[in-house]
Formats: sequence, C-alpha cells, structure tokens
Amino acid sequence: MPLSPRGALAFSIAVLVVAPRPVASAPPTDPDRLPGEDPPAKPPPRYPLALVERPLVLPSGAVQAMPVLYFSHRSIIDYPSSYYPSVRGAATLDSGMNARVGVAGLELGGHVSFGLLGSAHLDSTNTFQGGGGDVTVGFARSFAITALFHASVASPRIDRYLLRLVLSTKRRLSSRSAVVVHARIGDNHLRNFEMHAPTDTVTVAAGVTVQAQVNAFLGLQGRAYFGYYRQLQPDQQNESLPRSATYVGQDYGIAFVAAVHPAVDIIGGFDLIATGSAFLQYHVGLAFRRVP
Amino acid sequence: MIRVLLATVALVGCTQMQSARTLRTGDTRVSAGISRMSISDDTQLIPFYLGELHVAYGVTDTAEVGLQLGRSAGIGDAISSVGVAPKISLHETRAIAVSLAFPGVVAWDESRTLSPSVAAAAYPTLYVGLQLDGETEVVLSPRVGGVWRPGSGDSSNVFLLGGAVGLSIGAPARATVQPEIGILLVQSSTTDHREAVFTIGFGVTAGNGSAARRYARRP
Repeated sequence: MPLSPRGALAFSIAVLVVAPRPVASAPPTDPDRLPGEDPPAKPPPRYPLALVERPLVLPSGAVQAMPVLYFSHRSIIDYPSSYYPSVRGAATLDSGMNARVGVAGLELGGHVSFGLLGSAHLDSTNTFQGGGGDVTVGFARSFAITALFHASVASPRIDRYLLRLVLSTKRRLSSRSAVVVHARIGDNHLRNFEMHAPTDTVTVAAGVTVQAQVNAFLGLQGRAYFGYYRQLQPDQQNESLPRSATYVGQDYGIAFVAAVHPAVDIIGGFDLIATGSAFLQYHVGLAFRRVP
Repeated sequence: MIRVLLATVALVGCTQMQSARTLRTGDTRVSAGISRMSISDDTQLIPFYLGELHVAYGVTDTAEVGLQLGRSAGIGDAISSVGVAPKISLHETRAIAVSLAFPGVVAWDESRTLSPSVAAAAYPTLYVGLQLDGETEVVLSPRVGGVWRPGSGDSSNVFLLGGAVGLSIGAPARATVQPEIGILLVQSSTTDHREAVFTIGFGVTAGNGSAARRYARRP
C-alpha cells in the first residue's frame, strides 16, 4: 500500500532519527606494516575450482582447451507388428576439440569434431564432422549473451548450418548449489539434401542446468532443454524430416566436472538427445586451462 | 500393449529425485534426471529412456507443490508428459520422514501414432526417508495408480503398482544426487495381461534450503 504524503514524511523522519549517522574513522592499521609503507597489493582473484562458483564467461587472458570423446548409441526400434517390435543398435565414436579464450571481456570459442568409428547403420566413419565458433559477452554480473555458429558436414549428402543466439543467467541457490537458465533463438539451415530444396527450421528454446557441488572439487550437473521448432519450407516428401511443420524437442543430460588440478578438469556424462531422432550419447574428456 | 506401456512409463516416470522431507516455506528445489527402463517382451528386453525436470516450491513448512516435465527417447515415437505433484509431510524427525505425494500427469504422443494420442495418470506415492547420516538418506517410494486414455474404451486403461528405492546424497535441500532403482507393474483393466518395467535412474538436485532449518524441531 503506498504511503500518504504525511506518512512518507513521518517515515523519512523516522529513518533520519533511527538510522545511525556515518562516523568518520581512521582505517584499521596493520601492526606488521612499517609507517609509510604501502599496503600490500591485493592478490588477483583465482578462477574457482568449484563448479557452482564458476562464472559464465572466462576472465580476460584465460585459455582453455577441451578434447572430448563422444560415444553415441541409437536404439532403432521397428514395429513389424504392435506386439513384437525388433530392436537393433547403431553406434558411433566421435572426437571433438573445443578451445576457448577470454579477450577484453569477451569469451571466444571454436570447436571441431571428427568421426572415428561408426556402425554400418550410420555413414560417419573417420570423417570430418563439422565445426564452428562462438562469442560470449557477460553483463550485469550474472548474465551472458552468446552468438554461435556451427556447420555440420557429417555426410557428403547433407550440409547443415546452425545459428544460435543464447541469453544465459547463473544464480547461486546456496553455497553448494546453482542453477543456470538460458533462452535461445536460432535457425537450422539444411542446404543440400539429396536434390531437395533448401529448408530452414527456426527454433525458440529454453533450458535449465542444475549444479550441485558434492565436495570441494567434484561438481555434478543435470540439464533439461526444451525447444519449439518450426520448419519454414516443409517438404512432405522427405521422410527423414519431421512429419509436421512444427515439433517440440527436448534434451536431457547428466555430467560431472572433477577439478583434479587448478588447471585440469576431468569431465564426463551422458545425454539423452530427444530432438529429432532420439539417441543416447556418452562423453568423457579433459579441460586444460590457464588463467592469468 | 507395448505402446500402452510406453505411454504409461512416460506418464509415471522413474526417478523421484527428492527427499521424503518436504521443503520449508519459500524454499525451491530444481532437479534434472535421466532414467533407463527395460520393458520385458516375450523375446527381448526393450530399452527405454526418459528425461525429467522437476521444480518444487515450499508453500508451508509441511507442504510443497511441484511441476514435472518428461520425455521419452531411445525407442520409437517420442512421448512427452507434464504434471503437478503436491506433497504433504505426515511425520518428520531427525531420523525418519514420511510424506505423501499426489502426482497427476498428462502425456501425449507427438507423432500421433497412438490412438488416442493423449493419456492421463494419477499415482499417489508414499515417501519414507531413513536418514543414515547428515548427508545420506535412503528413500523408499511405493506408489499405486492408474492410467486413463480417453476415447480408447476400457481396453487400454491400466492399473499401476510399483515402488523405488533410492539414495539422496549431499547437502539436504541444497545440493544432492539421487541414484535410484525401481519396478513398475502394469495391469490391464480388462484382461489378464500384465507387464513389469524395471527402472534405474539418476538425478541431480539443487535448492536454496537450509540444513539448519531442515533439522529444526517443528512445533
């Protein structure tokens, strides 16, 4: 309820009366410091080991390289009849390298991936899968905006390009927990698919990442992602594309980050990719970091 | 029957990702997890995966409300679900906690290959938490319920009976991980057809609760 003018005046007086007046006082002195000696320089802030304390953007001058192995397994279910489905599997082993650097308040990143092994059901074996880059800028202490580009050339028959603009914020829930919320918009451009016309699929999505610090160096995180996709040029003859012009995608993941050294993390986890054709993906990797 | 089973497990989910203790007033809990289920068929075990997101908020010191989202992956057509899960505390001491939840969920088949493509479920769940030490709780969660598929007639409605046992490890109400195993028995409402679904899940939970408040004696 808003205060009346009289009430506001009374409130102001009460604050003036009750609130303690600032008292000028000498700064506390260090008994070990000699007279005239300059105070010791404040040590630079250290990059935190705890996952829940890490910022969204690398500090300027920091460099991070992260080689990762990905193992994907797809359970392909056929329904020759409603009672007796048949199950067959398809698996791939991919490798990726992600490099990031903090420059003048920005974080610049680049990534490439290569297919190492693949089963007969998938055509991604020992090939360059794709790559891309991103730039992130942080603002208002706990927010960041990322612009990301990725080109996928996993198959000689398909060229696909992804553009994303991501707004993220990280909130500490307690000394041992944090949550990262992000919203994103973007476009998937399918340029070349077996003589079909190029298509664009726009997406609006949001996600939540939950971070829990088990002990001083081990952090766990679970994530959930929900996206709305709309295909602008639906091609009903293309059986590999979604059957309708709009669909909803969701991904989930569990991962750990073990800070085994101030400059080295061991990471691992698995993701349930349920956007498009569904599959399960495991990953394990290292993160090497140098922070000035 | 196999697709009815898929809809059922998507509705009911697997990983509870919560303590038997309810949140205190104003506290929030956010959990994300993944479950793997094995549906036994006459000839093989069919793998089935479900991702889940739960958010809960303490409305009083003995009651919380929750929202949960889930989606299947790894088998055939995707099934998504959304639901609410109020929970009330029945008994709580430092060593043991008992609470009762009333989840209600709606699921839909996005490809619309199921007919009908929408189903609803309710499955009251009892939570019994045994505190092993300050950061480890064993959570038992038996549940019973049913799945209703409007417009399908009685033939594809099913009854549920199941339970899970899990651990909640970490700082209570702040940062925990929850491994869990469970079983779900699905019985057709009109025939003798019965199936068993075995589950294993893992969740990560973060919250802003206080351990000091959690163990404070209630009036």
